[in-house]
Amino acid sequence: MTPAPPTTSSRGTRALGSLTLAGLALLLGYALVWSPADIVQKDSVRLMYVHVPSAIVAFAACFLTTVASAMWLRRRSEGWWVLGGAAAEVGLVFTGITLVTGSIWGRPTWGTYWDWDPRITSTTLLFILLVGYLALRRVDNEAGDAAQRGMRGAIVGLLLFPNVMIVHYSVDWWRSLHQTATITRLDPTIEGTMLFTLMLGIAVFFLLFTWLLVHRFRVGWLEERVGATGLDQALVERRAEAGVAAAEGVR
Amino acid sequence: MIATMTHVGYVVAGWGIALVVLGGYAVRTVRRGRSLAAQVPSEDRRWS
Repeated sequence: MTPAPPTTSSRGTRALGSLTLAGLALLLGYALVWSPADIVQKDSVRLMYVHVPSAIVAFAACFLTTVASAMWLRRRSEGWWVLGGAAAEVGLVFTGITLVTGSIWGRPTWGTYWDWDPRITSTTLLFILLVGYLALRRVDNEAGDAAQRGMRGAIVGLLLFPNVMIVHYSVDWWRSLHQTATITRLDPTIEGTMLFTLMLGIAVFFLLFTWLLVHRFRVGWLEERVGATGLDQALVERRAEAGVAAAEGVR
Repeated sequence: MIATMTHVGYVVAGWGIALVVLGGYAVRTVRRGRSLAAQVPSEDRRWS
C-alpha cells in the first residue's frame, strides 16, 4: 500500500470542496446577475447575499466554540480543544467579512461606513472577543501551565455565544440604524428570487464553513502532534545533556 | 448587465474582498496543513 499523501484533504473534503465551488458559482450567478435589484436599496442589495450568510456562519462558529469550550472544561480532551480553536479562527474570518461587507453596504444605504450603532458595535466586540480568545490560547503563564492556559481560553470561549445573542437582539433592545430581523421571522420581509438567493447564500456559506472547519481542525490536530513530538525531542536532548554532564562530573 | 447596475463599486468591492479573504484563508490553511502533515507520521493522520 502506498503511504498517504501528507495533506489535510480526504475524499470527503474533496467532494465537499467541489460541491462548495459549484454552489459558489451558482450563488454568484444569482447574487450578481439573476436576482432583481431592490426598489429602495437598488443594486446594493446584492451585498446582502454575502453579508447575511457571513454573519449567520460567524454566529454558528461562535456557538460551536462555546460548546467546545464547555466540553473541554468538562472532559479536558484534545479534540474539543482543537475544535474550539478551529471554529473560533474560521469564525473570526467570517465575522471580519460581515463587518467589512456591512460597512461597504452602509455607505450607499445609510451614507456612512461606520456608526456607533448597537448591532455594528456589538459585532465589533464579538470580533475583538474572538481575537482575544485566540490570543489567550497561545499565551503561556510563567510556569508554562497548559491547563491554566486552556482554562483561561475556555472561559472566554464560553462568553462568545452569549455575545452573539446580544448582537442578534441588539436591534430590538436599543435604537438602531440596522434593520430588524428579515428572514428569521415567521413572515420574511423578502420573497421570490431574492429570498431564494439569500437562502442559497446561507447554504453555500455553511458548506464553505464546514470545509474550512474540517481542514482547520486537522491543521490544529497536526499542530498538537508536532508540538508533542518537539517536546519529546527536547526532553530527550535535555536528558542526554544531563547524562553527559553527570558522567563528566564523576570523572 | 454590470454597466446598468447601480452602486457597482460597492458591490464589486464587497464581493471582491469577501472572495479574496476566503480564498486566501483557504489556501493558507491547506498549505499549513501540507507543511505540518509532512512532519507527522501517517498513522497520526487519521483521515488519510
